[in-house]
Amino acid sequence: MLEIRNLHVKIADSDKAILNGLTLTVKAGEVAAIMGPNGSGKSTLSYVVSGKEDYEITEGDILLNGQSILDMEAHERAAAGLFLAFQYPLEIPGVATMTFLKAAMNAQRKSRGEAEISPTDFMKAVRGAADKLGINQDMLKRALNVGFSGGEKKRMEILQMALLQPKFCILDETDSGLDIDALRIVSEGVNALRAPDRGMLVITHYQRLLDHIVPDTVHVMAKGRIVKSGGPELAHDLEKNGYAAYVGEAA
Amino acid sequence: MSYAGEKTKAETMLAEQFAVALPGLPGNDPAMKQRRSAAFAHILRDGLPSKRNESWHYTDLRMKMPEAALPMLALLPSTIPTGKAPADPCAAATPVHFSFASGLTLEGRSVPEGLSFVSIRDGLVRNHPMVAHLGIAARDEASPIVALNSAFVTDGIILRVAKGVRIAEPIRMFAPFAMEMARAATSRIVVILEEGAELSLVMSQVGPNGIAYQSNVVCECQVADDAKLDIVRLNLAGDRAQVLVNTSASTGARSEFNFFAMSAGGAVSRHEIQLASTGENAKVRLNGVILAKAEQHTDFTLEVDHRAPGCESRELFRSVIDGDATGVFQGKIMVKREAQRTDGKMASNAILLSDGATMNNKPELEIFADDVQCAHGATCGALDEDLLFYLQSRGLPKAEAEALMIQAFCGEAIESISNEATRDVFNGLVARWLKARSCR
Repeated sequence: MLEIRNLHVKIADSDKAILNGLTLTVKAGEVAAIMGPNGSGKSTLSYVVSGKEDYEITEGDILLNGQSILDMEAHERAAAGLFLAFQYPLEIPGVATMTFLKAAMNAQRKSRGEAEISPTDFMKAVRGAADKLGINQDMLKRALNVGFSGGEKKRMEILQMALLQPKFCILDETDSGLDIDALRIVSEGVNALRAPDRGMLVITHYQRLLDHIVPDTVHVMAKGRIVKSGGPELAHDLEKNGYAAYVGEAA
Repeated sequence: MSYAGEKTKAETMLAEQFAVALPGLPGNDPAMKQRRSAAFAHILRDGLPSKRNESWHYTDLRMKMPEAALPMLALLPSTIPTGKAPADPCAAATPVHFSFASGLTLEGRSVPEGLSFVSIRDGLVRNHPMVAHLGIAARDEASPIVALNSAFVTDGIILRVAKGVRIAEPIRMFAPFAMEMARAATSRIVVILEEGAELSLVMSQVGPNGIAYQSNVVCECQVADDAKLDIVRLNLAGDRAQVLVNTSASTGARSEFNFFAMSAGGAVSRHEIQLASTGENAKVRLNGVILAKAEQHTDFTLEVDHRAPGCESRELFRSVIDGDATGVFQGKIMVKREAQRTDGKMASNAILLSDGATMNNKPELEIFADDVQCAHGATCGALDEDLLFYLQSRGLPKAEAEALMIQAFCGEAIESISNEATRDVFNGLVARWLKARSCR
């Protein structure tokens, strides 16, 4: 489903290399976790896959369902089925959450050549998904993420994911800033989206999230590469012994 | 200030035009002729405002006004073929009550009880008692725009709402420039709200592209104690027009003045807003939006003079500058010694959409009282790349993501318009501007 081949990435207009030959494959139906210390390039990986312009790919390729996405702009990747749940969802003053959700859904439909969603279907879809995530009408009326708590922002990310029904989801430190209850609600939202035809990449520092979203595979990232891959037990091992061994290995 | 330099072509033309026009300008009362001459004396003495006047530093009219268009004196029928005449974008908000074609003829619809009016032309010709209200809130010495207006004014309206009368329906005034000739149109709107009166005005100024006409509008408002005045003003003048506007108001105790203006038209536009809070505990809201593209030069200059205690003022201006256009925001909050407990907040934010775009932001505070809360902020920059990426990552193409952000940016200032239908009109105008931008 998502295949990253020998990816080398540096920050545009600089010599600072961040990803150094990263290779990773996540199959349809698979939930893969990436763990790694600060500065190992985890967030950069999520941005590069999603199509942020601040980076330059010097080598390698990223394929979604066998097609290279490197020449696609961010919105085209979204329409092709990629979704990034941001570590720090952005506040957009003046843009009502509902307006934004509708614009996003219709933009993706449009680029896939589909008709716009009817207002009734839209309301029904939003209400259904919002209820499950404990998002009330008041939040939906407010400007997107403005004045939302950390937990509310993360729930809003998962709401968007549920509405957009992406083929492949990247969750960038979705657990950061969440208390136990919020973590449970968000994880339930994510688990509800697990499907045989959908892949997920869960980026996290901590084992904690992976108790709720149990991954099929775990990959350790250090210095811009995957340095070890294994099953869920690898996460437990990391929690106990830390990253020291892997940081050394990459160097 | 005395002006000793060589006269510009426009200054020479103005002087000649004034001398020729004076006998034909409405109002044969010698005192009125005298007032016109006294007003024009300011222009003769100081010349057109230029860089050397601090308040005109960013809008050098001496440079920007190469010629003075011929003033319109007589009632002229529209020379624009029917069907091509500019329409009022605010028509969707409320029915029209007054229409000033080319700034001259006034057509009044039946108006609500408690609202009395006289056209400036009629008022001057008949020496109507309401004419005494001219020049009370807007003073010739306060602005060259007002001085020019007082000298050349040919029409407009004087409106009065009687004590305690609340007029619920917004009153719309439509001022199209309906000539195919470059002419100068000078009009004045005088609004008098007696104690406890309420009025809401929607004014729009539109005109054809490609004609270098010149428009001067002064709107002077006397808002008595406990009165409430809402003004919404649209400048959608033609792309070669020169638009000079001065809105002046004095606000009584516990009164409210809510003002919104959008400036999207004209080659050179300057809108001054000069307010004096003369009564205690008055509330003032000033909001505005600049949409400027191509070579447009658009200026909002505010002076809020707090003279009485306990008044509150809020200003929010949003500018979107594209192409090689220039935006100017000058905002000065003055707090006099006796204006204790003043609460003033002013913000001007600009988005520059191109490398050629310029914004001059100049907020100022001048405080002589010690128990006040005043703040101002000004920002200027490109659209936030991270926000754009967030929207794009949700499937919005870049142009659409930009449009959504700009719409929201302007929307926060438009939000201050209390009438929903009018608010929709202005949000729609931003959408239309953005659409034209993406189609270019």
